[in-house]
Amino acid sequence: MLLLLACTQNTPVERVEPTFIYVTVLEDELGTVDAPLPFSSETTQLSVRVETLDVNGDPWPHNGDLVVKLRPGRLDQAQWVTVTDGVYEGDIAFANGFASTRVWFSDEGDKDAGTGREPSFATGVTDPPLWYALPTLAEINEIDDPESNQLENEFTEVRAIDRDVRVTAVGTNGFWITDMADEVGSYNNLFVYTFSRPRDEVVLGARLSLLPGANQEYLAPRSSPSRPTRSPRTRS
Amino acid sequence: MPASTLSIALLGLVGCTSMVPTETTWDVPALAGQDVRLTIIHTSDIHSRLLPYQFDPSFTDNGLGLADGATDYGGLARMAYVIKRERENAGRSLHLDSGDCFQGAIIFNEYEGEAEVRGLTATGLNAAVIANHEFDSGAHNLFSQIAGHGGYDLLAANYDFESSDLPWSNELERVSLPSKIYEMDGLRVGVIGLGNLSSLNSIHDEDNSLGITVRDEYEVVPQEAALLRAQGADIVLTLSHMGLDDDLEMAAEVSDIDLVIGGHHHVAIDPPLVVTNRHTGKRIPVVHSGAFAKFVGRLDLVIRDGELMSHDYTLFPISSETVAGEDAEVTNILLEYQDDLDQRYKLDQVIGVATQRLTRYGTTGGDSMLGNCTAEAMRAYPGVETEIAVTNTLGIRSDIGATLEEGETWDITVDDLFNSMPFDNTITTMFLSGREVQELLDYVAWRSSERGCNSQAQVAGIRFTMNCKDRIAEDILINGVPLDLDGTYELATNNYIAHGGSGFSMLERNTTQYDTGVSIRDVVKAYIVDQYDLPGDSACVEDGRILPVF
Repeated sequence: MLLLLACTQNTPVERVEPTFIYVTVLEDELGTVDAPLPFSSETTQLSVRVETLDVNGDPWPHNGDLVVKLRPGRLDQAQWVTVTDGVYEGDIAFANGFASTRVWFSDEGDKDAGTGREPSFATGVTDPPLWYALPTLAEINEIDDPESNQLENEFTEVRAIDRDVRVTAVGTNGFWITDMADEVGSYNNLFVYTFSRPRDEVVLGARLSLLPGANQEYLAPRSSPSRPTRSPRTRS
Repeated sequence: MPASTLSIALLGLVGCTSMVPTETTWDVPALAGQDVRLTIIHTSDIHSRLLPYQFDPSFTDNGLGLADGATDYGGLARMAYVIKRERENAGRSLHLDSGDCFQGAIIFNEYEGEAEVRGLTATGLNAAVIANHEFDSGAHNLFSQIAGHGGYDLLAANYDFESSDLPWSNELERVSLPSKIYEMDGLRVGVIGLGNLSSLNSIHDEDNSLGITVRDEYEVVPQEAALLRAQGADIVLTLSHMGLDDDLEMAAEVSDIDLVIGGHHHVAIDPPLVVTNRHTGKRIPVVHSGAFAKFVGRLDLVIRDGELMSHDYTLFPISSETVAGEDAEVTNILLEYQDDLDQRYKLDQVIGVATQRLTRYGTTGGDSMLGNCTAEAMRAYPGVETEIAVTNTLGIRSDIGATLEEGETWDITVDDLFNSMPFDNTITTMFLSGREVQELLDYVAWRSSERGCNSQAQVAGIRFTMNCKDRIAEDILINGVPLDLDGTYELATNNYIAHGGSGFSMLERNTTQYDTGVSIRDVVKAYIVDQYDLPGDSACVEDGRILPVF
């Protein structure tokens, strides 16, 4: 009788285990909001223990792949880890985390499509989060390859509260800012796109204490010798 | 807390589930202390673009993945294909729409939203907010479409439909809710609908009243959120059509919401903005997924004990190049309307030829080709024949010949005209004093300065400097003569801004208004047929009559 019920269309959720994923970070130096880790483009290793759990929250002996990603930030490369008997323990490599950052582990089905294993979409994230310092304007700009901006399409805040970030020009659809704490020529400026005319308080010389926005690379035409600029913007 | 009852091991059960050992249960999982994933599919401001259309993606569109060169863009069947694919590739999922699915193409003018409601129902939409354009064929029509064809919830907490004098008010109360909890495998998601208020003052229905009492969103959202929490909601979000600025302020000011899913300003934002609430320090994502069926947004959330731990976002561009298929169910629904429209309207009928792209916005931010065409056609139309004309730029929704290359020609069709001028607006005439003309153009300068100094009105018989820095109109000439503040001028405008739409309150209060009943789209069609070769010697050229200064 119960087996027949399992085949009908009117059953509620047909569950694929694991239902939950629990992640433990095996390190102490995670940073805090008051004492963040330094922002860095260098690859960082994070040791974690990942456990798969069933619908009751008990260990589930899962064998298969979990997709890994970093939000916000980027992994060193596209990654997944393989869980054996419900546990993965090892390192995750990533770079460019900023602010409150968590690593995601999710069951999206097996990478090896031949197994036919359905995804459960169970997802677990690292907790507490990693806390990284916000990038300065120069750190946003200072990269080796302008076409692979590590913060491209990331929503971040510019480090401003302990710097001296000033409005240096105002246009009809945005304004320019410069971090005066850095030396001239240190790529310490960028354009903030606001779509429409900036608000009245945005005037020459105004000091910013907070600037959140989405980072987008603006590549100058190929014929131009000038270095590309980067434009955190508040609207698309 | 363990999950309750009935868990059956189905090792080796073939045919029901999969070929590998698995377990099937009917339990509600014990979510306490666990990470729980939720996927929200988001659409907004579809504006009746149910059928694919041609346009030239902007620089911003390109940056969001909508590349130039596709055969066509948008279309609800493509959106549905993406929406269903993504929901199949998710566990707990909701599809939410931030409103304004009505108005913007001939399919709405003819069927008044029936195709939109049927189509969205077929996508599996869970809920939509009631937005301003949902009232474009009247409040009763909205009720009829939803009651007759809707298969999703209609939400609006800041509209109060409790007027016993107006039948449609009671009707809308029957088919809408202020908020609702959606439960998915143990997770309870509270959704509060928020319509926009700024445009409602200009939308009229018969006696200029919708029978809606507007409620302050800063009172109603905390009330609804508390109610939803008391009913067990794990997270609470607003499904909003208030616009980006209001959404950002709501996220910063109201303590008890976790997420804002918004629309109205036609902006797509990838990645989402994140606002820090000034009372709780919570970080609130604010999501907007654009307009005109150009994008579908997917937001993945990880929630633990009611706290939004982390989020991830993907924006899917919708075009012939980016979406591999179309949803058959939606396609079949749309074919019913498409065939009928083709037969009745002869949408492919050529009414003129363009030798260059006819633009809705000017290259300087001032007057535009289509703007000048429209305004000149309005004031010159037999029986109208006024000294000046003013129409709002946003009444023209798209370029004509958007993909036209240099040296080519473009056959202007009836379909082009409907896509560019979807609104069924008529010409209203009125007399203005010179001071009122000054006030009108000052308002245009002010409103334009808020929008990158792109003129928010198009004119005929008027030439002026639009000073976006000081937000005033200067050096105004009326048919070549300086404006006489004590003079009187007859104006042709559209009935939308004549009723105060888009903030033109100086027109709304005018007591000399006369609605001619003449369709502006018909007037422009007649003008194109008459001129035939555009721009040629026509008025469809930029001539600097609006000079932006900033």
